[in-house]
Amino acid sequence: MDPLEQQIRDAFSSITFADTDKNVLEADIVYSLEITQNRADAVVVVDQEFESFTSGLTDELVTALKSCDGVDEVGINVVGSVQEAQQLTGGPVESANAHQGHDHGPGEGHAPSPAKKNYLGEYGEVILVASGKGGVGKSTTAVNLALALKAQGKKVSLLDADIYGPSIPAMMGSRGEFSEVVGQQMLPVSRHGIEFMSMGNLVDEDEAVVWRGPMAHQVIEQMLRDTQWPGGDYIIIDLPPGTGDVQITLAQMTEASGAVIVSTPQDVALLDARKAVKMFEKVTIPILGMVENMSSFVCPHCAKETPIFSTGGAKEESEDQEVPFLGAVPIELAVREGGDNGTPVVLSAPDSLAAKAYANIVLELEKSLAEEA
Amino acid sequence: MARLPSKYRPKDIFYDGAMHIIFFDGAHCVYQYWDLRTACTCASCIHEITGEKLLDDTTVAEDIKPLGSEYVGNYGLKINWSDGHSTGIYPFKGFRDSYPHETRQVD
Repeated sequence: MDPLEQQIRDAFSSITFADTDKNVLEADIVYSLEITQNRADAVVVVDQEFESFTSGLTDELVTALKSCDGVDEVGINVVGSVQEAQQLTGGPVESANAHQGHDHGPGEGHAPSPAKKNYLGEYGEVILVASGKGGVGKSTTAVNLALALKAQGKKVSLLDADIYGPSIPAMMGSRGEFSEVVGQQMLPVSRHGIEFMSMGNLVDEDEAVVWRGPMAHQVIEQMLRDTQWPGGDYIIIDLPPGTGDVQITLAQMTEASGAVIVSTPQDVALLDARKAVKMFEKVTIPILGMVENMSSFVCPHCAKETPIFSTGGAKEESEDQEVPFLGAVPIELAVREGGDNGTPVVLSAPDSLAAKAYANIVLELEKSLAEEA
Repeated sequence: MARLPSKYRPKDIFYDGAMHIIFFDGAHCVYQYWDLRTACTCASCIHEITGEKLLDDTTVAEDIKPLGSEYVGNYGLKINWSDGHSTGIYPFKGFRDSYPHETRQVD
């Protein structure tokens, strides 16, 4: 063993880990240690239960490393799990203690079977609500589907993945409220019996989120990983419009049960809805069906139906694409008012045509899920 | 459009000097490490726009092996190779349709 390594081991063995009677080597918390010239960088894994000891421990490690010959600068990176440490160091690196007989899967020197790194595993079904075009009513659909599922006795959470234009806080009535942070975890906001996370409850609503793709990717991962999701039957994810970074990130990091495509009946919206269908095919996320939003306008005075954005287009498109058609939601004042007031139509006007349409869509959605299972 | 047909869905994956995948349709396929490493389709191995192969196969060591791997969403596998390369995602479809392999048995 080289003299510096011996020196570091000696120094580390005199540091007691948290309130245990083990030293940091015995506790096997040092994931990796790299020395480049006069700088030492260590990745340390501290389980959540010992989180409160982190800062004291970091100070002790820094002092210990600086006492070693030739080390002037020290960087300590504390993470919550071995998986995070692997990500940070770009792969499974053996820890200082690993050579002493940790078993790494079957056989001599062979890689272990692949790990499942999927977030939101605490939910029975992970449903993505998507569209090709913006403004077709994805968020309205997402909140009303969530509430309609809730009305059936299901336990439901919501994730607003539209980080650039989060609408869920306004629709659920949580504008101006901020997610609480406990330790390194965020707590979801709760309204109408549904827990949800949204960029709108993390940054001030007058602030603009101006990020390139890699940042978007990171914040989505944080919302998936660092949120204390309560778990349940369903989590509905409201995607941003289009087929971009956030959609790909979510497809890679969760094991989605399927996607619901929202479109208005117009050709321009349907054209892009087709693109969304194709994207999900590429990442093999089943299409659970299409919802036609703003289907037609029923006049509250004369009860005459006017197809403002045309009607029936999404039904035809779903037949062309061979995906199920889940239902059509009419244009009603109550839908818009419910969304703006923070009490979506399923709750605020349960007898409206739209609320009934959502209840039906949920039944169709469950049928579609049962076929996929 | 349903989820992937069973012939593309891996039930079990393990490594013992070669990569083995047992699919839901019962097929047991075996892949040589070098063949898989050189078939990587990530942007640093295949030019994103022209589709031209950028990886020079002769630079890949004969004894290349995976150090680890993880599932990516519903559709693929990310392999962390011993040469430090880990950006490629191998879609499950490719394991039946494109990557060279030997099929041992179909129950």
